[in-house]
Amino acid sequence: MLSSLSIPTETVNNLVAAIQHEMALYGYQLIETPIIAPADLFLTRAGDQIINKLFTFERHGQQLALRPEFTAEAAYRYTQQDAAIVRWQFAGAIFEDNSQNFQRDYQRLSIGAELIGMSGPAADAEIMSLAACGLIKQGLQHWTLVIGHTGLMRHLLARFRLDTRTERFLLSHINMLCEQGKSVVLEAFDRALLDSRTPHLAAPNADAHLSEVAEVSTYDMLGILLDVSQRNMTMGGRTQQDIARRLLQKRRRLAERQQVIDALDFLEMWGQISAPPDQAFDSIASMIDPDDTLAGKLLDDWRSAVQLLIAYGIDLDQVVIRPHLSRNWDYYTGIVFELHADNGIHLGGGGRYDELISLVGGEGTTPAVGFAYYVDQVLSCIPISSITHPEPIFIIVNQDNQQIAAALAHTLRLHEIPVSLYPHETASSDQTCIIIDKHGDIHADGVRYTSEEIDTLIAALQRVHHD
Amino acid sequence: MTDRVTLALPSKGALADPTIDFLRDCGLRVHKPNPRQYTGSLPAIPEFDVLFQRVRDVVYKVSDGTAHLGIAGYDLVREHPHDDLLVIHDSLGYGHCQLLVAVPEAWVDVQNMADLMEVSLDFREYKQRNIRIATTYTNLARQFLHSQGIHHFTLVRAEGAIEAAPTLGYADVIIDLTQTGTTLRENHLKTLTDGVIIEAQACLIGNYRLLKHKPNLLRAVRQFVEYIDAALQGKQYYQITANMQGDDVEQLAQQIASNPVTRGLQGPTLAPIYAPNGESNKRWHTLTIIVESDKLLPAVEHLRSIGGTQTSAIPIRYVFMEESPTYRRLLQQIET
Repeated sequence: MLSSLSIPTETVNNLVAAIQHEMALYGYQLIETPIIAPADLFLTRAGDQIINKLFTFERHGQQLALRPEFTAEAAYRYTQQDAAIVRWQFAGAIFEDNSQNFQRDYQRLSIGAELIGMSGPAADAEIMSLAACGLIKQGLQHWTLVIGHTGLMRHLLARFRLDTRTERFLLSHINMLCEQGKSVVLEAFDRALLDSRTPHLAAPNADAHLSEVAEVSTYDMLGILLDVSQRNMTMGGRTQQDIARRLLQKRRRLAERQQVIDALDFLEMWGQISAPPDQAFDSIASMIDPDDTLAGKLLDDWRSAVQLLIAYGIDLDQVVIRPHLSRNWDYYTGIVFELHADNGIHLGGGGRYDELISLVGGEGTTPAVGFAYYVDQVLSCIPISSITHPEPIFIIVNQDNQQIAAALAHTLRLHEIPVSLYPHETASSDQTCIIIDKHGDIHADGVRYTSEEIDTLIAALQRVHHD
Repeated sequence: MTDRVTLALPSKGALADPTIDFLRDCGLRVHKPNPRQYTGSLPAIPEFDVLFQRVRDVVYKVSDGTAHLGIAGYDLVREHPHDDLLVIHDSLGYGHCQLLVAVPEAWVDVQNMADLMEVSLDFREYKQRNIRIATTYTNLARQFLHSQGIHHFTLVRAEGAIEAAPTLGYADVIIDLTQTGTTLRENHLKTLTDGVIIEAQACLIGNYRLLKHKPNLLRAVRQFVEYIDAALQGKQYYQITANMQGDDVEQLAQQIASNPVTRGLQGPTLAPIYAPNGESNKRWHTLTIIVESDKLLPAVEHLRSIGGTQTSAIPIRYVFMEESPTYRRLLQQIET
């Protein structure tokens, strides 16, 4: 199940079992989801990075995908049942297609939890603390919980009145903004959403040109289209109105460019905040209009969720507020968070996704929050002993003693003593070895036991086993 | 018993005849005893058997090891990748085409892939359905569309006459191969500025597993790629012969080599010309030199300017380098 074959399966299973146990303590019920599902389910709100690695294939004309995560399937499953609030946990393989990079590690193991139907800081705090405590209990010592808020960021961006595609573009380029600056993102915006081949759009005096563009009347455009239809050309499923509407939309977007610049100014400041909770929340509050009650409430709820982490035993010194934190999925609508080991390894993350349930067929808005761990990453940061089951005792078996050996092995196992049968030549000298002689007597650790002394043998082996 | 090499070649379609012509020009005439027969031979390399297949099957047959080598379009190789499929030579110099996205000309608002991405969202928003894209190349199409941010689409698998799909109404957009774009224009379709998915031409492919584990085959394979390399290399050059006048042969050689177009592969060769009575004519020399095909006239001009006359040029059939670069790459590929 893991990309790295060097990790013993028992180690993986132990970690999975321990985390599942921790989740069960919070009341999360183990649920199975299909490995294969219609690709549309995952495409609904996946970010570009996820979609580019989505493992898809066609079957009977339907595009299917190997699950890249659990959340979308959990959301769909929620729509198919009646409970208002569910706490579910998942464990299993998730898939990504890295074939473009000549990698062959398509599969990794993930464990996740989803809390669906419950809103507010209590739910957010529960999921974040479950994510952190689940690993702290397994011995994770040096870690940081980074928390952002997609919902507040989107709300504050709404005042710039951008069209949805421009807003989506800016949100998906926020890391580029933080790393490479405003001008690079603006250039990318011009290239992607405006027609960069038209020199005036990128020119500093674009404003002067706007009035000229605005003079291009709708009638002119419709005239062009009318001419097109008179020539009996194909429209490929679109009408003249569709085309005219989009032409107008493109021109409106041109007029939005100053708003885009203003929005980038805001996001640039927003992206600079990365600090401990008290300090960060003060900075965020200073960027919110006092009359904006919704933003105020979102911030208050966010603060409350972070404060609640203390009640779960989480030291806020290990929490960083980074409001622009973005994850690879577009379905997040509220807090988002990631758990990092101090060596930079990304152990897992999640967030609130209140719109996803309705997008996959649910009625109305359903609050939901969840997270997932990447088990291979977790294993590289947690000290877990690789062997937990005791080494088996060997019984040397040959053609003459098969019956006695099998019966003895069975008896020992009934007493919780692990036993393996081995032919003489392959038995390791390092482990306790039982030899049955031609009289049927049993030799173990230099002591001979007759068939009437089995209980004595069991007692002796149990002492060794417990030692 | 000598191991035999099976070479799969296209039996029909745009690559069939050009492939036979290409191999003939390389000195590898294909012998097909009967037009209805699916097998043939390469008299120049007796160890080779030729298997004629539909071009898509050429890729399949090489992938599954039925054939050791094959010639097919690079577009199909990319569309049907396989762990055992090696591209031995990716540009045989014929069968050029592009796999690209084409939309109706009437879509005056759509110039590039970003526009098409928006239109795909419009289809979802206003028509409650996905944009439909007709193509034979579903794998490459899907990868490309996702890489361009187009995530909601329905691929309509189609074979042949795909350009008619938007007019017939079973697709909105097409992704197809085109050589000149004429068929697209005739069907009122246009290309997008950044809508080319791949530039393709005929390529030589091989089965990794067979070539790696049957070294006996490599001698015959080497012969095959030597012919191809030498012929492709030869196409790039002309051999020029000219009579050059000059008292000092070394000075003449310097004048010739002073211009990069007449420098030749190693430098000019000059030989004395003898008068009809057999006496040496010290003022005249014969120049032999190799020049690049597209620099033939500049080379002739330069020779004229330094006293050259009666220049003749002949195409070169083969240029054998110190080793076949394609064979060297093949060995590197199968050693990894």
